[in-house]
Amino acid sequence: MSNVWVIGDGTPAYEIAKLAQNAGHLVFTSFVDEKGNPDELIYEQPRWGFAPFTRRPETNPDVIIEAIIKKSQKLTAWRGYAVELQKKLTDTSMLVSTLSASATEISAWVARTKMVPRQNIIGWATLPPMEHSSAIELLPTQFSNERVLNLAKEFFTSLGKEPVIIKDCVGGVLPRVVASLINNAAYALMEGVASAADIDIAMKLGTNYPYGPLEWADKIGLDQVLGILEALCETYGEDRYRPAPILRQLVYAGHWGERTGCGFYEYL
Amino acid sequence: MIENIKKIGVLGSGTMGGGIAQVAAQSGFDVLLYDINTEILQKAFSKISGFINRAAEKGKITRDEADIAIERIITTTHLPNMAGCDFIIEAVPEKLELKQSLYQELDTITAPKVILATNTSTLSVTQIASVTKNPGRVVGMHFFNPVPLMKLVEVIGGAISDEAAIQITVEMAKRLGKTPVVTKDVPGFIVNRVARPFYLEALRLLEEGVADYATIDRLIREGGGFNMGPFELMDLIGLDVNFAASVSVYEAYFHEPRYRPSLLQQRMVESGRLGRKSGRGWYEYGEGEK
Repeated sequence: MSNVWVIGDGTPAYEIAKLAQNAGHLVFTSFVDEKGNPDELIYEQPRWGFAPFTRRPETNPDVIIEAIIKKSQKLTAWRGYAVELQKKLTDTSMLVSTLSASATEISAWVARTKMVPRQNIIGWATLPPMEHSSAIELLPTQFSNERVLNLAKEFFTSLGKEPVIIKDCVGGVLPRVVASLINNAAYALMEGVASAADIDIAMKLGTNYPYGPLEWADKIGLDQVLGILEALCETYGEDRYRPAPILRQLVYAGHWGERTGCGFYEYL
Repeated sequence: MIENIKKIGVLGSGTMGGGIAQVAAQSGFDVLLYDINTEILQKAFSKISGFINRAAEKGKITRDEADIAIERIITTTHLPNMAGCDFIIEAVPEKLELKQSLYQELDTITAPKVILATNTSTLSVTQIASVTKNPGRVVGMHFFNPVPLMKLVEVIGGAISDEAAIQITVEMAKRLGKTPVVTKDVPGFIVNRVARPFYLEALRLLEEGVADYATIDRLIREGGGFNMGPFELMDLIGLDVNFAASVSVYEAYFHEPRYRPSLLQQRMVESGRLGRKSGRGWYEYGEGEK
C-alpha cells in the first residue's frame, strides 16, 4: 500500500483516484480549480459521488499522480503546491498525465518549482472509462530513473493495468487516436452531416467501435478532449488537430459531458 | 406508401447486390435481380441460395422459410422488366458514367413514385440523381459488407432528394431488419469519413516512432476496448483499399488536413504488402490465416 496523492481537474484524475482507492492505496485527492489553485487537498465536487478527504495528509506521498488538462494551470498549480508544502519531496515519484503536455515538458515546469527532482518524473496516458481497460501507457523522459519506472509499473499493475512503454510525446497512443476520432465526429455534427445519435450508431454498428465517438467524448469530458487537441495543435502546428468549434462552444458553455450533466447529449 | 412495396428490384449481382437480394427475399419481398448476363446471374443466384440453404441447415430459419425465400428471387438481364418493381436498389460497380446511364434508363422505365436507391459508397448521390428528370426520388442506401450480417444502413439524402423519399428509404431499411442512420451527401458519408483518423493518426504515431505497430494495436485494443487495432484492421480491409479510401476522402474534401493520407502507407501499398489477402501486410499471415 502506498500513500498516493491524486491532483487533477477532470475524469482521468477521478478515475485513477477511485481505482487506487479500490486497490487499497491510501489516497488523497486534490482537484484544481479553474484558476489553477489547489483546493487545499480537499475534494469538493459532489457530482462525482466520491468520498471527500477533509484532512490534510500528514506524511509525504510515495506517489503523486498529476492529471491537470489545462496547460496554463499546470505551472500555477505546481507553484501553489510548492509554496504550500514548503518542502522538497526528494523521495516522491511523480506520475504526470501527458494528455496536454509531454512528460519532458511537465518535468521542466515541475523542476522549476524544485518540489520534485526531474529524475523522479514519468508520464502516463490513457482515457476514461478506465474500468475495463487492461493496459496503460508509460512515457519515460530521458531523465526518468529506474526507480520511478519500476514504481510506476508496480503502481499501475496494482490497479490492474499492464504498463506499456512508449516514447514520450503529447497525448500518447490511445488519447491521440480517440481525440482525433472525436474531433472528426464533432466536425461532422457541426456541419449537419447527421445527428449525434446517428453518428454514434453508425460508428458502433459500421466499424464496431466500443463507444460512439460523441458519447465517448461525454464520458472522457469535453474539457479533456479539447485540452488534448489544443496541445497537439500547439505542438505540431498542424491544421489536422484544430479543434472543432462546436467542441470549444460546448466547453465554454460548461457542457463538459456526463460529469456536468450535459455534453453532446443530456444526462439526467 | 411503404405498405404498398411488395417487389424490390436489385441492380447488380455482385457481393453487395447479392447480399441485398438475399436480405430482401428473407424479409418477405419479391426480388427481381438484374445483371448484364445470364452466366453472372446464375452464379449469383446459386451463391445466394447456398447462403439461404446454409442458414436453414444451421437451424437459423426453417426449411420452408428457406424455400420460400429462394423462390422469391427472380433474375433478369432485361432492364425494362424493372417496370414492375416498387422500390429499386442499385449496386452496380462504382463508375459514375455507368450509374448515370442506368439511372437515365430507370427514369423512363419506372413509375415516378418509385424510389431509386443507390448503394454507392464513394460517389455523390446528388451527381447520380442530377441526370434524371425526377431527381427527388434518388437517394443513397449504403449497406455494409457482409450485408446479411451488418446491421447498419446509411440513408443518404442528396442535395435535391425529397424528404418523403428519405423517410420511405429509412422505413425500407427497417423492414429489411437493418438499423438506418440518416446522413447528408458528403464524401464518405458518416462511417468512412469519421473513421479516417483511426488509421491516419495511428500511422502518424508509427511514423513518429512513438511505438511500433503491434504496440499501437495492443494499446488501442487493451487500453481502448476496440476489437481490432488500426494496423490489424488495415490488414483485414487490404492496405490498398484502405489507402484508396483515405486518398478519395482527402481529395473530395479539397485536401482537408485531417484526411491527409500517409506516405508510409503508400510505400506499403507500392511494396505489394497489402494485408491478409497477399499473405503479408503489417503482419505476416500463414496459409491458414488468410
